[in-house]
Amino acid sequence: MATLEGTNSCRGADGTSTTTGVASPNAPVTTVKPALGVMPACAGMTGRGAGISVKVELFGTARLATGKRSVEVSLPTNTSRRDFVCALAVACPQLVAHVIRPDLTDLLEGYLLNRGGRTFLTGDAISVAPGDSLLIISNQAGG
Amino acid sequence: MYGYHGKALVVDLTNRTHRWDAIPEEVLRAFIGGIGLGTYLLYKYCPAGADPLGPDNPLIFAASPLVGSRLTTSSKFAVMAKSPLTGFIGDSLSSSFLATELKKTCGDALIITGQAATPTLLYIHPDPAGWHEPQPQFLDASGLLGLGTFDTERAVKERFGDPSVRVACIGPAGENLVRYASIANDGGRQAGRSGPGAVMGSKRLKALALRGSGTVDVAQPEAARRYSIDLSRRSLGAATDKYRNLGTMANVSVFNRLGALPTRNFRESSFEGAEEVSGELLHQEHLVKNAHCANCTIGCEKVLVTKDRGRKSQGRMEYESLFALGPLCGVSDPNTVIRAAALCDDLGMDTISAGVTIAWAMECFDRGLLTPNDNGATDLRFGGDAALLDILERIGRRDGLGDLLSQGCKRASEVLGNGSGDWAMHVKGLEMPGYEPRSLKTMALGLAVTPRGACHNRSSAYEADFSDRVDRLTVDDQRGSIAAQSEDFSAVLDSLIWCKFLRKAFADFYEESAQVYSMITGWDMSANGLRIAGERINNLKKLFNIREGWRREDDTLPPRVLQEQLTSEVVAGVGLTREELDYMIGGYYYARGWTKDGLIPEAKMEELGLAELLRDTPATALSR
Repeated sequence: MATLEGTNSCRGADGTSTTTGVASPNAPVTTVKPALGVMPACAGMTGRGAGISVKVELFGTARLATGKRSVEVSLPTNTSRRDFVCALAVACPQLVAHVIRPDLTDLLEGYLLNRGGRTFLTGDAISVAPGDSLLIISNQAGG
Repeated sequence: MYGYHGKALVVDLTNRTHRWDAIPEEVLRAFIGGIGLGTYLLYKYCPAGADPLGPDNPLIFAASPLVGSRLTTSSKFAVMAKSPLTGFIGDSLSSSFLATELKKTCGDALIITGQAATPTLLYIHPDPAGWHEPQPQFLDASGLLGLGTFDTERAVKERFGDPSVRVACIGPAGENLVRYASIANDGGRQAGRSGPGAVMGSKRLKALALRGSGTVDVAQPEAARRYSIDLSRRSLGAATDKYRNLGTMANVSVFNRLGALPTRNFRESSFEGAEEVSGELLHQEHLVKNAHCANCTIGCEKVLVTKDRGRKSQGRMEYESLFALGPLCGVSDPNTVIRAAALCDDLGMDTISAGVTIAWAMECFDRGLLTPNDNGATDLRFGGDAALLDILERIGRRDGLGDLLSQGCKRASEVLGNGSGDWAMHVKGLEMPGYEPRSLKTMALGLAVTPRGACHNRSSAYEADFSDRVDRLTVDDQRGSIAAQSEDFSAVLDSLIWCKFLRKAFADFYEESAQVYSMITGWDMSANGLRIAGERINNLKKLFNIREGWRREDDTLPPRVLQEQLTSEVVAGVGLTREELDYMIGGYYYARGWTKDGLIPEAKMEELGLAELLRDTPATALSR
């Protein structure tokens, strides 16, 4: 697992890092253009007309792994959980196996998806609107 | 007998005597151990109406059947007493090697009664010749007075020349009867909530030292060994990821985003300085190491160190300490929070109650009800780093304003008056943990009804709020059932005792736990049997409170929660009315099978076997 002191960061379409140096949890939001063809498992997403930029907020392990508080991904208005996960995996490959299932079909069982801090999303269909935020948080509440 | 001893050591500090009392098998089966067994023993050994700080209030250390089994996270014990904060049931869990020594030396529980004439160190150890049961020795502890908890433990170990002696002790806060004093044990671990350290202080018991020998027998050792390996493996998976990586500190940034992070004495539910005290940043800049409880594979503890130019301070950090001494007091300097938490641990006092009580005082300063000239008080403004550390010291010594604040925010507000009770954030006298009830409605109910007072551990109702099971911002008729089930679940967890952070590692908690119980004790137990035990334990807690004068109006939330709406962006305009809370409470009583007034019908007592189990206890109070 990368730590915040590391140089891991979410990668751009060509697989290069979009930030350099010490990643910080206070680092600015990085917009990443998803490269859907980079990961074979996500090939099916290519050409679906991704269009809406959605902010994905990262907490805990996800933030440690990427060194970022949030990233942006582009998604169709009506998308699927799997497509979202693929887009996120392409944007932040560091999350694979730590937060995202290795087969890129879903988040790992310890993580929940929440829209706007209000609604937990559990089904396969995800609809997003411009300005939406999707939060990835641990299902291990409390303590 | 496997997993149990079937007896408890009863020590009378007044007369310096001891005896062994039998604990019948039916009681052990019914109440399991830990919090459950401790509740039964408290009901039995605490006379109705006892002064929490008087000699009649027993201080009980209860082990559990899993202690000594080497199962991950099971080295835990419960501390029980009538709470000096609430006057109701007081209980605390702690996790350390003291649990195993307790079980080796004291049977299933140690019950300390009376009051020593002089400061005392109670040392319990086996008869070297092996002829007799472990013997208590009553040693002079005058030389330990005034020492912090870390120095006290060090001094006791040096006195016996044996680093394997396990120590539970109080610091200056316990000696001075700060009502939320904790009992430190085994390297700074704390039995913190509900004021057990004050009870220990009232008995003039500065420290307890245990040194046992032998092992604890289990019924099916090979099966237990295999299960232990499997459970340990699961404990390292995704089910505990958060706790292993960031610990509970991870809550800060999530709660802040969800508008659930109590800030400036619950005036707000998000904090502009949250990032500075977030788990992620503390992990990045202040982490020294991860630490583990005894026999724990998870290792949720984060040991942090200050990084500024001030006096170096190092200690464990949990979410509750972080919220209470950080955002709740408007403090965003992580170095201050680390220092404050370490100071609480050394003085021996609960960080939650300390932080909430100080936040109440800060609001009093804000409103001009307290001034810097009052009683030697520091200028306690929200965000005042130096003032926070100063007042913690004063509370521990009961110096100046610290004397008032040592009583907890309920009593302090009753003394100060002027409507300050409206922002005294407690339930039944126990200060609120770091869950904003207005934006976590199921938890709001849990906080209102749980017998210990405002408590996040005996109710895990928040779990529903952080899921798609409910809309956390509204109320509905399901919350009563959810809250009751979460209490029963917690009661079983806290009685066996498993760590809460292990809960998602079980495929079927009740089924698996029943199998483990049978494996350890050799007694048949079913999943439903455990469920009923959880319900029985919670009914007995309530029964204790009824005996001590509980009234329907005690199940409530602070006026602020019921009168003011939240303003943080994601939850702006969200509130909780008294009608909504009462509606949920009614649903909870219904789910519990209680009367509309929250009393326990005789039929429920019979159904749970409580009437029979309590037949030999004095002053048994059935429903009113």
